[in-house]
Amino acid sequence: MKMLKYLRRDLWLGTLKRSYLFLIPVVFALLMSLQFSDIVNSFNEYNNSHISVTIMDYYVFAMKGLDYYQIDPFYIYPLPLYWFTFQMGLSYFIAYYPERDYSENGVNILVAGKSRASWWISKTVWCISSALIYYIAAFVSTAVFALIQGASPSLGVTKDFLVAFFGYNITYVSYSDLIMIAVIVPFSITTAICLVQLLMSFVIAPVTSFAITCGMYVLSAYYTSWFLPGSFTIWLRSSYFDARGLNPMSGLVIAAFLAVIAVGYGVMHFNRKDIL
Amino acid sequence: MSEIVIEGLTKKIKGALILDNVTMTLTSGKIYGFKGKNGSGKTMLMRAISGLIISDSGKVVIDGKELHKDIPFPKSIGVLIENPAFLHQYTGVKNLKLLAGLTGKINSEEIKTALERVGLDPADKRTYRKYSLGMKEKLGIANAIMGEPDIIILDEPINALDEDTVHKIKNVLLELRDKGKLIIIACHDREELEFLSDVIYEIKDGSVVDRKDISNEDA
Repeated sequence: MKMLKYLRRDLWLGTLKRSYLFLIPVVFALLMSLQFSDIVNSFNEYNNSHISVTIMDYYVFAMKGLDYYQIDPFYIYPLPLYWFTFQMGLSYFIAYYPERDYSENGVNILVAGKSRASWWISKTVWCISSALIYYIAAFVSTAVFALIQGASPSLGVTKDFLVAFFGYNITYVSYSDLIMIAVIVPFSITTAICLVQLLMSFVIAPVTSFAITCGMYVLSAYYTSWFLPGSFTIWLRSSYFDARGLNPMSGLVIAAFLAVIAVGYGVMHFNRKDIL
Repeated sequence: MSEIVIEGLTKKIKGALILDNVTMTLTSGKIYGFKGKNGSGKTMLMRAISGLIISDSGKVVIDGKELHKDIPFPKSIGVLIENPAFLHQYTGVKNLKLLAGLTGKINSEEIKTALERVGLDPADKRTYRKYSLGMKEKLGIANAIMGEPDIIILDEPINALDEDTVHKIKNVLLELRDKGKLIIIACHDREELEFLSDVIYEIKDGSVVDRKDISNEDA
């Protein structure tokens, strides 16, 4: 019950009062939708066809991330700006509120609420719910922009078009696997990264933990490996789609491991932390 | 009724000895004054009693329950330690309501009463960021006394207050003491401290160096 009281406060002060930051996924969705719409129009024009895409096609495109970086002087690797902005937007959302709440109001809040562990658990639930709202904002915005641009309101995918755009590999990915690699794994891994960042913001400092997360995402764009968990947020680099890729199941295991460590260590850390 | 028993409380922070084997017993219905120079350990001792810091050795026992072993924080406590900290974008009432929401025991009427007792207008629409230093201090005191907790800890509560308000606060504290509350106050003003306190502890380099029973002296 104490945790719920803290959580209600966190959702009010940390989420609702800062809801303008959800403009980041909305703008991301708009830009990705415009890109996808152009691609669909060009495809139809070139093939003299009229393939109708769905809102899920739009979302899958928005969440594709970016292809593998290749060390080749003739290969120009595009700056992964949209993907990076989307990921960093959530990290920024998580970065400062919890630590400020602690350093500016910690004495009053903890004495009033009388539980260190509940306070920390509330922050972790707030972090998870923020990530969920962030992803929902991205999905809903993508759906709205897709509908405006004439997409059908279906959660199915248009395999023919996806094959034309992403290549033949996509035919090996079942619908449920596609949902796994484009929806579930990116959300899970991003949330786990946010939890670790949340913990680091108290153990080190908010700005440092934010910088470390930024650095991890930058490295993830250029190097694909399980120890750079940002790689799991890019479904184009999933083993379900590309044999060189990362197994999404290991992504889920890593996400669960990081989340358990962050929450558990946080409880221990706060139970012994001096509030000065 | 509250009783605080502190036994051999010792605390080091980054190698510096902050509290050194502090032992004392505090009982309800009295005002305890802590005096000492800046950095003597008064505030740290208050933090330790409030459950905010964890000692290296020794213990704080409140009504038979040991802090950080049996209870994480004292059950009924109000604190003002160092600078009052509130949310800048909200009014005084809204700030206290948010904190009362966490305790779950204090109603709107008690919040209003606490504000009026320290001389703040509950209907004041100004946000905390527009408060003067004195008003911030008053809000901190109102927060500590709202709902009339069994233990009230006030660290330098009258520093930024004018004479009339100091008089008002003194009366409130004496009234609360007479209702059986245990009050701990740290103050640099020797006269005010002696006027208010029943017992004064002098703290130096983290240790209690003197205990003066004012109520007995008066008698």
